[in-house]
Amino acid sequence: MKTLYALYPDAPAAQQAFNRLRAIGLTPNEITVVSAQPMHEYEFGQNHTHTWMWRLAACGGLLGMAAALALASVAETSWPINTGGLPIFAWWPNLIIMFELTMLGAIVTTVVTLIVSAELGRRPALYDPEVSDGKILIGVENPRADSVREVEAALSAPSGARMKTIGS
Amino acid sequence: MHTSWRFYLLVAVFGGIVATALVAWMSQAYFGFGITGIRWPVYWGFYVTSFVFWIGISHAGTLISAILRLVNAGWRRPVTRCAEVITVFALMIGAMFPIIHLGRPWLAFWLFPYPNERMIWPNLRSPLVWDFFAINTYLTGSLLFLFLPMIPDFAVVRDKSTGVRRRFYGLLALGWRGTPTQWHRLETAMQIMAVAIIPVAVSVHTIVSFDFSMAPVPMWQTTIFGPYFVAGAIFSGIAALLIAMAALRRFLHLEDYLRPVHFENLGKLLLVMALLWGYFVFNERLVTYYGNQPSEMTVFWQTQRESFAPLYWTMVVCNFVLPLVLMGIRRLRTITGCVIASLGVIVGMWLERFLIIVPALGHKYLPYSFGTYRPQPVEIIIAGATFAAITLFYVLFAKVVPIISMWELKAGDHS
Repeated sequence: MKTLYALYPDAPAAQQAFNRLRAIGLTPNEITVVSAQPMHEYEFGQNHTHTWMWRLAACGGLLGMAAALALASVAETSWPINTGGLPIFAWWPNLIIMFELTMLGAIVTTVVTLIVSAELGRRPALYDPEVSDGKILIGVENPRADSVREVEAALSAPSGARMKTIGS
Repeated sequence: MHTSWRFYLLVAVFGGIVATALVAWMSQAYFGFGITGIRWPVYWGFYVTSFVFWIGISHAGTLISAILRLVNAGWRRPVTRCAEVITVFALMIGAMFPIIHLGRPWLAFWLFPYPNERMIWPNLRSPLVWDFFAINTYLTGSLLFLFLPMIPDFAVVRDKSTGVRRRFYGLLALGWRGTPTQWHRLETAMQIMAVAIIPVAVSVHTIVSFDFSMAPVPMWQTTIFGPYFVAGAIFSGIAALLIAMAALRRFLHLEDYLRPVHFENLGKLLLVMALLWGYFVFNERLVTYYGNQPSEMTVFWQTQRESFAPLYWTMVVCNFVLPLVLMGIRRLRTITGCVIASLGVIVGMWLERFLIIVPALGHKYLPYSFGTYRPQPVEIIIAGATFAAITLFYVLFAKVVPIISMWELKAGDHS
């Protein structure tokens, strides 16, 4: 088990290392990138941009709406009481409850999706606290034995790169 | 990290005021509502005024932040977290008032949507139950909207601290690293939250307005109350945000982040909202005046030229004249000008809520039911202490959490 990574002072240097790793045949999924801010303008910061979050949020909203409808239906019909001449199951007032629970469903689903898909709360993976100082980490976890030298060369080539190795 | 003695002094003073209010509340629970000024026919006094006021103030943060996020206003970056914090604390304080307003506050859970032993549920057709759903949805959404963009900043603090602090911030950072996937998911989540939270924020104050407009009370039953309340809430929210920003800038020396341009832009927003507020008040007053209903005109004249007139005209000066002058004249739209105008708006908006509630309840239809309301010390202490409470919470929060979103600021500089 060996992990190779380097810290870069700026985004162009990190992009250069990323390009070199791609040039030796590594796929974006095999390259670990960590930065202290989003780097969408650079190719290395664009991995895994497809997400189902919007659709899942909509589903969560629908679930919330269904829950509200069920709640209103049960609450108003289990012991029918005439209130101000309103129907026992009154659509207009119930729309308010339905709206609130729809939005709550969407919000909670979004947060759950974020936690799951961004792998928050999982055990620590490749990371270096220097990232918090603005450094950009580019690394490869468990490279093939025959490609270690190439990976090292690719990571250390850009100016300002500081190589680090974990494991033997 | 060095903590100044001023911080401890501030916490002690405001903590003392909050503790006094707690004692006042406990005495109210013990002796009963007889020690308050709330009695027939005015059953809603300082407490409901404060409830509506604080729910309004809560519109400062999440709503403004969400709108600015969606339109991608770059200048929002140092402002958003200061604003979102106000929302959370103001909502917590506002949501306390319906409980303070209960004679038996330990039965507050009766409002929760579950049945009693005879399978009777709370009345879901009641505006008070709508409040429960709306406020809780907004509070949950606002808490998450505040927390999510704090995760990367917690990770930075985690990396820079040791011992217990490192463990504490490590827990809050949820194992954040900053991979492209995490950044992308976080930004997408914030976009979805912004889209969802804007209608929720609008709904909350509309529903609070329904507490009034659904009741057959003169000058309450009007369709304009929804948007009028929402506009007033955003108005007072911006004022609260400007005051908080000015205080943070001065006491935490954030001059490099909270720059005059931020005050200038929010000052313009305050001006727009003052005009909108004036427009709504004009509509409400003209339609009542033109309709000339005797019961409504009684309340109308109470505020225009009788016992409540001094408060009414103070409100007009604070909410309309002052911001119009200070924010309308460019030379006066300085940080000091913004703070003065905002303090005026805070006073004016509190008076507005009071003037909606008390004169109408004290003059309902037939003269036999006319009455007045004199707030008693317990109510004044509790209502006044909420200002100390929000300051205390804000100071403590700013001590524990980076009050300016570091990663968003860096991302702004980067792009």
